[in-house]
Amino acid sequence: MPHPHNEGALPDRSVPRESQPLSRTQNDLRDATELSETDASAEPRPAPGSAESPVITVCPKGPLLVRGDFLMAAEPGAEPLPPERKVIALCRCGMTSIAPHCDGSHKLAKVRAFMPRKDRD
Amino acid sequence: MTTLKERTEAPTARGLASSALIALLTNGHPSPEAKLELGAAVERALDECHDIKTDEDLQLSLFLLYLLHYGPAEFVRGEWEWDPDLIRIRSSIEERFEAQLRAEVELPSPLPRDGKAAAEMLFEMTQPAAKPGTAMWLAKNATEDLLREFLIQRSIYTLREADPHTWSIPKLQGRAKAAMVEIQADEYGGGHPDKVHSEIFARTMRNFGLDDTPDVYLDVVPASTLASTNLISMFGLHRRLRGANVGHLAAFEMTSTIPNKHYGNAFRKRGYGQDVTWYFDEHVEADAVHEQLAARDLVGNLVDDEPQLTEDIFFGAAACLYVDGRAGDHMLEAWSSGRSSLLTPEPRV
Repeated sequence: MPHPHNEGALPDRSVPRESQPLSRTQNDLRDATELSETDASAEPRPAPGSAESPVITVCPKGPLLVRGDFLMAAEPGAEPLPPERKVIALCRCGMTSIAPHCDGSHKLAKVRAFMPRKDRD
Repeated sequence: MTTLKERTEAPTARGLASSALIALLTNGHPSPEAKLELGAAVERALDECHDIKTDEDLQLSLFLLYLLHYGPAEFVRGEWEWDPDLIRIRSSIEERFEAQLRAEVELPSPLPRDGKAAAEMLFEMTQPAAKPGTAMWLAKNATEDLLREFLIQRSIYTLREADPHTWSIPKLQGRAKAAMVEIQADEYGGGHPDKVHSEIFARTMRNFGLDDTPDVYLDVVPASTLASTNLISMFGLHRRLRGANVGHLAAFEMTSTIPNKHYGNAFRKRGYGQDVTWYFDEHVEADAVHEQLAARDLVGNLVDDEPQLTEDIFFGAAACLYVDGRAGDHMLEAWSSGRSSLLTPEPRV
């Protein structure tokens, strides 16, 4: 197969991008400081409900959207890494070809997981 | 390393209107008559035009007039971007384009009454893209020549991917603006130059052995493909049409994941690796996110916040499906009967 102008390899997704300090708003920093005054061992973390705390949105007949300040481990024990994009969509139907991400395949079938509990067999 | 390239040679005219326009744009000191000639040529072309979607002369003219706003290619001499006469001439083509589309495109009836219903309606309208004809056909019948043609057809829009939708950001407010920024930021690689979608596509072209200079293949791309980019440029440049641009973006994102999966498979089938397929693979994952954001956060919020835009949002979505559908049909009709979908055999680069 002719690949006349092959260029450098793709970024290796198994390696974390430059380990970016997780961004914090001024408010979060203040909250974190207050926290650490009461518990010196507490990791600074976004206050629940702040702009940066992770939010999972259940899309009707679709994936779980995850946005905010979060890390994801590819499997139990794996190093948690920052996501490749600011918002990710996690598969909820089991039909995806790029697990755990959604690839839109849920559109091709009636998905049991999307039905309200009372309608399932 | 990203190198900025631009097309240096003037495109080939496809009729009297585009001929007069190219003559004007490439002459640093045009005579006053040159503008009058252009105005008259465009007027005549509009008089004789039966279907502006497939009118080679008018779609090329419109494309070149919009090109002034994207960053004029090297062949343009002089400052034409805001020339009042060119804007007036462009408006006369746009008016016809918009009027014809408004007459031909079918809107859902009744229109949804709130954001939630609007999102559901968009998922319903875009459901046929779960079984995309052109993409599935290409995945099954891909040859080297067809894949090359496909990339050339795609290059007109994709080497400036996201830009015309972005023009609407300052025309929106509040939640809809934030949602559009969230989608577009991801289109631009979240600030990583190598992940800008148009750059990923340029890389696909290079690794396939094609030239990634924007518009270098303009001369061989038919009106149906130019119309598809012109549509977004028109929606993006007019504040009045911001609802239509939002609807267009939503329909575009919502018809992307499954077709791109098939396109990626078409290249894999011919032995191409990730250096070529990354663009398509990236869109499977990215647009599974974007379609949710576009339907719910962008359109849903805009319908709730500016309900008077609902009709235009659905006009934009339906126009996207209609115009892009015709461009895809053109390719599929040509390919399935053993013909090229391009105007003339592509130049060998």
